[in-house]
Parts: sequence; structure tokens; C-alpha cells
Amino acid sequence: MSSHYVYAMGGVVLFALGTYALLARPHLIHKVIAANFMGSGVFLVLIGLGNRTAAEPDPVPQAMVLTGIVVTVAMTALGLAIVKRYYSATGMTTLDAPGEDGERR
Amino acid sequence: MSRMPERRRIRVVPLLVSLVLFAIVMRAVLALPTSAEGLSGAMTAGAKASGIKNVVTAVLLDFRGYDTLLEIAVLMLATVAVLSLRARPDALSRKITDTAGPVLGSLTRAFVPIMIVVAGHLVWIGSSGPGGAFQGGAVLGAAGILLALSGYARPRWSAGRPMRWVLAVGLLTFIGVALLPLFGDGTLLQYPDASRKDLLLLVEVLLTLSIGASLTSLFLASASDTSAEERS
Amino acid sequence: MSLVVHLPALLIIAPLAGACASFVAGRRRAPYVALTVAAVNGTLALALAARVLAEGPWRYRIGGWGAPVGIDLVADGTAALFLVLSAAVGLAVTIYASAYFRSSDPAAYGHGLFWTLWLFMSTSLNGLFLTGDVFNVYVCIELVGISAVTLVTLSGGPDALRAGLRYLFASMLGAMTYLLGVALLYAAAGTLDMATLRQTLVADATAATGLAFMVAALVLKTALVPAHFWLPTAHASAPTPVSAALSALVVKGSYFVILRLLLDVAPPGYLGGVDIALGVLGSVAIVWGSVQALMQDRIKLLVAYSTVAQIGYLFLVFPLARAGGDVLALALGGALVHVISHGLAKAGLFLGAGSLITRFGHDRIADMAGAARALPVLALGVSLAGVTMMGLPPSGGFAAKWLLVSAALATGQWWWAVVLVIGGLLAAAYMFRLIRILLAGGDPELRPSASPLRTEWVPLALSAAAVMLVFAVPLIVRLAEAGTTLLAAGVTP
Repeated sequence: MSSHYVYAMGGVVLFALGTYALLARPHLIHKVIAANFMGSGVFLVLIGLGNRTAAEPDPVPQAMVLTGIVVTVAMTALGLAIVKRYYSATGMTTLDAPGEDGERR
Repeated sequence: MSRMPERRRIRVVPLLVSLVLFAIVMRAVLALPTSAEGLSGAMTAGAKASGIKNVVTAVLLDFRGYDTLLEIAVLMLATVAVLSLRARPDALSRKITDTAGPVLGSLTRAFVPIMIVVAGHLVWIGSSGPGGAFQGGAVLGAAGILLALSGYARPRWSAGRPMRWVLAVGLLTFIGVALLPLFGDGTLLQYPDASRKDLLLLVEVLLTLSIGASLTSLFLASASDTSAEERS
Repeated sequence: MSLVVHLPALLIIAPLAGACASFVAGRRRAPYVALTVAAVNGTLALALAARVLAEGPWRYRIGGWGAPVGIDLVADGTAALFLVLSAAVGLAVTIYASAYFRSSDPAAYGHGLFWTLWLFMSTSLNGLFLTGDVFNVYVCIELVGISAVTLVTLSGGPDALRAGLRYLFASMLGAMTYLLGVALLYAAAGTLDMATLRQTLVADATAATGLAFMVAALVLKTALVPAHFWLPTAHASAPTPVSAALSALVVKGSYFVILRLLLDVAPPGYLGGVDIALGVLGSVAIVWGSVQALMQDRIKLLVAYSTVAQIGYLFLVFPLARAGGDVLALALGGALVHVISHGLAKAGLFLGAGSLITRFGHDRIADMAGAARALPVLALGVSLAGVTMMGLPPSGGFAAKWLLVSAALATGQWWWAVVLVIGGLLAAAYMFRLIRILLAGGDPELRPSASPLRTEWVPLALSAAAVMLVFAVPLIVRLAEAGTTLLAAGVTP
């Protein structure tokens, strides 16, 4: 198994971790970070699998990752801004009141 | 600030979901052949034809330039969105002072000019090596945030008319360049061979400016003293 | 090259340039920019549909490279239908919003940035309907997601912010899952272009997994039960023009991509029983959404749950499509007529409901009794929208159900027909409840507050269009037929 598979598998681990955290952790900032975990996981998968070429690495996954990073930054910025506004409006850091079962729903 | 919840139970359903996902994707990844070319052959050949030495830059700006166009739109949209989320019209009137100080101030004065030069270099080198508008724009954005943290850049600049123009100029120029071929014989973004390099350079420079301004504005527009805000 | 060939590119550039223009123009001039763009968009969309009818579908190679190296835009009948719907609803919403957002408080509704956000959303929807590249879909979906989430939060209240956050996290989950699917698909198939994928896709575990992830993410974004949890609060807490656009257009955007992937790109039966599963989930959505709508006291939540139910109809096309040939044409025609009629009627219903809320000052259905006496135009608009929702003849909704039932009976899968009938009865239940309250009883002295005329007439126009759609059905079916063959056609300008 070549070394680039390590990156791809690591990416899958990150994606799974991020999915768990996005669904399970009630704190809003944790959810935003979890989404970034998922994103980083996918980027690692893209780069890892794009390295299977004989000579130079495949440029298309690299371009996809560059685009993906910018889009993820944009989405994270928006998420944090809404969380901040929500906090200043309600004083809460979770979607449901603490004490309730704070799932993602 | 509310304290984090004390207990952290492992929640079963999300755990099962992520374990199942993990297994499925792992299996899919390991099932792949160990070597594959994908589009790299076609891309490398095309890059030679287009005259851009760095293949990734060629993909980003030339072959898949449409993706890049929309991606700039995403970044500008996020800035507009964050600007729309500020609570009151005067939410940005305070200067950022809690982080400013003499050490940060002098470091900023030393570093920001260097960062601007580095950003310019990253844009210029993009045609023949890793680099380009996003990379340069990120460095410019970091410089802008440094300026904000040391109090030189004021939050209310992010909402003013001049900043709006700086934010929009990159995308507008890109759209203009994209539409140029329609007057001749080409389709959208089909740069004429003769002026390709110059047009791309113009677009990249203005994009760098806009991206840097976007990242700085994202920071400035979110900057507000939370503890002093009223609960609406 | 004639200008007509460039229509796909212009349909994306026009709203995008308009978004930038509205941003620098400032809050006072932005509505005019948006109105101009809406008019231009409508003209371009109609022109594109006319050309598809006259000369068939075509591909537009951006940058002159051509797939799979470059990105192609695809102009075919299905895309034309969605574009025309988007333009029509967009124009109506723009006109309505110009009255809705007049407020003295400069901080209200996002400091006048609604128009810029709206135009970005228009751009991204047009982009989704025209793109022929699976990674480009990701970028467009993110554009739609960011603009839609922000528009939901625009009223600034805690409910809107909470609904927006739920919508945002669902969006993030969907976007990342979709991108992972693209990563797997590209690693297995070596191309991002839909037409090339159609020709080269073979039975391959990794490619199928990737495609499945992509479809699952899009299903989450289309809010099919059980992934609908984010929709009711998001559509109900948003400002009225936004609610209309979300229910009528935004969920249709991701649905369009599912249509492309499952009906055009993947060989029939490629994903095993997924199409049947989608049909089953659609049936559950029809029943569950309608039951929930029946139990709502507040008008916008009723309309939002109605959307959950109506989305279920859209997924019945997949099990019916297995049969191929004429049945596929019937089923697809039914789905497309449903998309358009529901889009028009739901937009009319939401705008009408919003006007009722503004005039009465509250959103409790029970306390709107007798509204028809004081607000006859609004009541008529809501009632006509109900006619389409219930599928009463003659209306667009009836035509859609007729086509779907015909397809179901033609394949012998009569159980879908049963679901369709039950759905119609349940829709009648919740719509009649609303209409009955509006029409009868109530306080004869009721004097709701005043509002600009267009907040009454725009909902009526939309609902009437949904009913009149029945006359346009043959045209829609003709356009739909210029659809599923396009990816193989490979016609270039």
C-alpha cells in the first residue's frame, strides 16, 4: 500500500469524527469546528487519491481542494457570525436550552 | 459567558452513523486501483498549449475558470452576509482597543509592509509555480487583520462605500474579462491567445485586492464588544 | 456566433453582475437593480426555452475547451423549464419584496442587503440548472446555501437565528457529504463532466458509493423525510418573500441535480434499490407532511409542512422511471409539471400568507376568520393556490397528479397511485381548513391594516398562473422530451 493511501485513510477518519461531532455535540462552535473537520477530511481524501498518478500529481483534485478551502472559509465565517448574533440575542450557546437533550434537531 | 456542559455522554445514534459512514467510505477508498491518471494527462497537455507553466494555476484560471468565478462570488457573498448580520447600525463604531498595545503596534508596523510585498510576489509567481490570487489574497487578509487588531483599521470601514467598491472590483473585472470573448468569436472566459497573459494578470491582481479586503472585512464586520451589547 | 447561443452564460452573468451592482449602488437604488435583473432574467429564460423548442438542446463550452477538460453548460428542455419557473417566481418575489421591505429602521432586514443576497441566490440557482459538471454543482450549492441561510436570518429574531443555524448545519453536512461523493466518483471514474460520466460509468463499488453519497447529500438539501427537520422552521421564520423563494425554488435546485444524476448520468438501476427507497420516502413525506400541516395553528408553519408533503410527490418519479420509454416520459412530465405548478402555487400561498400576517398583525389561523370579507383578493389568491395543492381539476396540480397516476398504472405499480390519491385528500383537508376559516364567520367590523396593492395582487397572479398551467402542459411535456437525451447529444455551438 503506497504512502498516499495513508492520507486518504486519515481523511476518512477525520470525516467520520467530524460527522459524529456535528451531529452529537450541542455547542454551536463545536458544530462549526466539526464541519471544518469534515471538510479537511474530504480534502485529504482528494489529495491522497490524486497522488496515484505515475509522474506529477493530478492537478484537478488540487484545484478542487483550493476551491473547497475558500468555500469552507466562507461558510465558517458565516456560521460564526450567526452564532455570535444568536448569542447576543439569546445568551445561549446551544440550539436548545441546556438541560434538554441537545441533539442537532 | 455560559459554561460548557459538564457531562459529555457519547450519543449512540450519531456514533453509529459515523461508524457506518467510516466503514462504507473506507471500503470504497481501498477498492480503488493503486494507480490512476484521472485528467492529469489532458490537463498537462492543455497547460502547455495555454502558456501557463504551473498546471494547477492553469486548471484554476483557464480550464475551470468558471469554478473560480463562482468561488470569488462565494467569498464576496459571505462578506455581504456577515455585513448583513450586524445587529445595529452603530455596531461597528467602536475602535478595536482591547488587543492593541505597544508591542503589537510596532510588530504590525514592521510586518505589514513585508506582508504586502510577499502577497505581490505570490500573485506574480503564480503563473510558473504555486501561487496566485487566493494565496496572495490570504496574506493580504492576514495583514488587514493585524491592522485591525492593533487598532489601525476601524470596523466601520468594512461597511462603507469605498470598501464596497474594493470588494466588488475583483469580481466585476473578472466578469468583464469573461464577457470580452462574446464580442468576438469565443465563448465565456475564452481568452484570446494574444492577450491571455495580460488579462489573467489584471484579473489576478484585482482579485487579490478583493480577496484580501473580503477576509479583512469578514473580521472587521464581526468585531464587536459582545459583553457590552444589549440583549435584543 | 449569434447571441442566442450565449444565453446559458448570460443567464448566470446577468444576476451575478446585478448582485455586484446592487452592492455598490446602496440601499436606496438596489431594488431597482433587482427589478431590472429580474426582467432581464425572465427574457433570457424565455428566449432559451424558445430556442430549445425550436432547435433542440445544446452544450456551451466555457473557455472553449470543452468537457472533460473544461466545464460545459447544458441547455436542454428540463433546464429551460426550471429556469423559466425560477425567473417567474423571482420576478414576482422581487415585486412583492419591494413593498415588503420598506422600513424606517435602517438596521432592519440586513441593512438593505437583501437585494444583493437575493441576486446571488438567483445566480446560483441558474447556475445549478445549467451546469454540466459535478464539482461545479458543489460550488453552486454552497452559493445557494450561504445566501439562503443568511436570508432566513434576516429578520434578526431568536427564532429566525435558530432556524437559520439548523439550516446552516444541515447545509454544511450536505455540502461535505456531496464533496466526499465527488472525490470518490472522480477517483473511480476520472472525470467530473456529467456527459462523460454517462458514457463511461461502469459497475464499480467506489463510483457507486460516491454517487450514493452525492444523492444522499442532495436528498438532505431537498428536505425529503426523514431529512426534513430543518425545513419547517427555516421556511416559516424567514421573511415572507424569502419563504416563498425557499419553498418554490431552492429545494427544487437540489432536486434538479438529483434528476440529472439518477435519470441522465447513471445507467438505470445503477444504485440498486435506491429509486424504490426514494419512492417510499416520498410516500411517507406526503402522508407525514400533510398530517403535520393539519395540526398547525400558525399559518406559515402550515404552509411549510405542506412543502414537506409536496416534495414527496417529486420523488415518486424515480421508481416509475425504472420502466423507461413512454412511462419515463409520463412520469418525468408529471414531476416537471408538479415542480412548476407547486412552485407557482406555493410562492403565491406564502406571499398571500405573509400579507395576511402583515395585515392582521399576527399569524394565528383561527383568528383570521372572515378575512375574505375585508381582503377578497388575498382570500382568492390563497384559495386558488389551494386548488392546485389539492390537485383539483382544472389546475396545474391536477395535471401533474394525472400524469403521475397514469405512469403508475401503466407500470402496474398501482400502489403509487393510491399514495397520490391519499395525498390529494390530505391536502384537501388542510387547505379546506384554512380556506373555510378565511371565508366564513368572523367579526364583521374587522379592519386589517393597510398595505400596498401589490402585496395582494402578486399572490393572486402566482396562484392563477398555477391553475392556468394546465393549458401549458403539452408544451411542458414537449420541453421535457428535449431533456433526457441531451447529455448524449453533445451538440456544440
